[in-house]
Amino acid sequence: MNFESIGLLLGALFIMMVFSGYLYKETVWIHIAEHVFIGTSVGYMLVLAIKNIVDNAWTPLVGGKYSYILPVVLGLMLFLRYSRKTNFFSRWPLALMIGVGTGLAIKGVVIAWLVSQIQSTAKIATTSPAAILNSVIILVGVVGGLVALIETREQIGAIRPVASLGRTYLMAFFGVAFGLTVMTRFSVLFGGIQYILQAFGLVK
Amino acid sequence: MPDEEKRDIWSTLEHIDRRILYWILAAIVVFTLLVPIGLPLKVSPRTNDFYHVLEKIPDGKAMVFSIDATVETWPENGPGAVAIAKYIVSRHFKTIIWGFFPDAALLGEKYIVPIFKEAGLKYGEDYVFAGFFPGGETTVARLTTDIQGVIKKDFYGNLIENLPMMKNIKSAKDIALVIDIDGTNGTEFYIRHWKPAGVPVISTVVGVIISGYLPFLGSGQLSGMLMGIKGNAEFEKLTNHVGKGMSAMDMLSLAQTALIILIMIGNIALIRHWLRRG
Repeated sequence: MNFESIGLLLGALFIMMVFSGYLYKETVWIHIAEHVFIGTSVGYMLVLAIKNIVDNAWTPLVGGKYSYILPVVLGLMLFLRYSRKTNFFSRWPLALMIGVGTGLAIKGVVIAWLVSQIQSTAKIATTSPAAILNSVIILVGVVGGLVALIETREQIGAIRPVASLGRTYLMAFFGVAFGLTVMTRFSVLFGGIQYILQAFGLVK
Repeated sequence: MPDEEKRDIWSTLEHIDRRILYWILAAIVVFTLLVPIGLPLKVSPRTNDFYHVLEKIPDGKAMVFSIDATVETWPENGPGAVAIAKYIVSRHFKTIIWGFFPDAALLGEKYIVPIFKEAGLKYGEDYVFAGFFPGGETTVARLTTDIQGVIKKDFYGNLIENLPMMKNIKSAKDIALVIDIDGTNGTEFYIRHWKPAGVPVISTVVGVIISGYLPFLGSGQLSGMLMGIKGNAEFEKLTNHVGKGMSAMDMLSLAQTALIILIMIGNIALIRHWLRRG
């Protein structure tokens, strides 16, 4: 038996330990599996993080690219948060990270989430009666959904039926999302059981 | 125990132990794995659209295969990713494989790279495996203008600039298509930065995030999408690369039928209970 087979059997054993919590009752085995999973995940992430620091910062720095000293120092400053006296300085690299991230995201989000979506919603397709109907359904849903989410004024008068229609759309959306989530959970269950059967040589 | 004596079949079903339901579902999954039924599967228009986007790309063009799935989502993402990789290999696309979530390196090395190796394609000339890159959206945005500035070395430690395939691939302009294997919302990064740079983006996604991506599909920001395990199974059928997606569909069909029957029984029992109480 080689290391790969042992790893496969161990994986199957841990999946069975997790399943036992649902199929039988909560025992110590499910907690052992949880702790081992968290431990190995953290270990894997730590190794990857160290590899990234070595590849992207340390190697270029010792190779003579001294401009890399700035991101390295900023990275080290993040650890200053563990001391009350120095934790203020950890906000500088955090501010930079958040600033860059927000700037990039806003640039992309404005086009992807607003401009393109407004254009697409406002454009009524005229290729077929079904396409026209589809476009109208989407337009009504968008307007109704937006009205339903207005919280700054009471939803009375003409707003009330529009908001009610919008809420129906939102409920339909949540229902679809829930149904699709069930599909994902079944896929995970399928993957787990398939792994167990493969480990014991019952399926290919 | 007078109350329990009065219980009829509906009351019993109303109070059924949930573990029995879990055992029924587990039994269905085991059955479909041990005895594949091969239930009929019709290819949906959206899977056809996804396929046609790939088909329109001329042979030999460069493309990005981004693994933004995780080990947990792989049972759903995996069949589609494997079928797409097999299709790419058959079309001799120049492929860069990378990912922006930590599991990308693990999944790429175990499931995707072997497909290219087994097909006899040459590493560095036909495909490059760059592994995982940190930085998320910031990195995805930077790659549109300077791929080799971000990726200095591949997964195996080779300098990217020394790989023959990468000599003509410097930025998004040199890429014909992005295929994202998405279990984590990674496709949004590409929609926000690569699509505006003129690169079409297609994605195979897990069920949880399908409804969030449909507006992008409608607006044309996403050129194609395989929806969950069903979309993956349909793509397997369409490309004749039958794999785990098709057997998962047997399971999904039977398990969801069982689930619908159980929901109906539960609701009938509840309504009956209400009517009895007046």
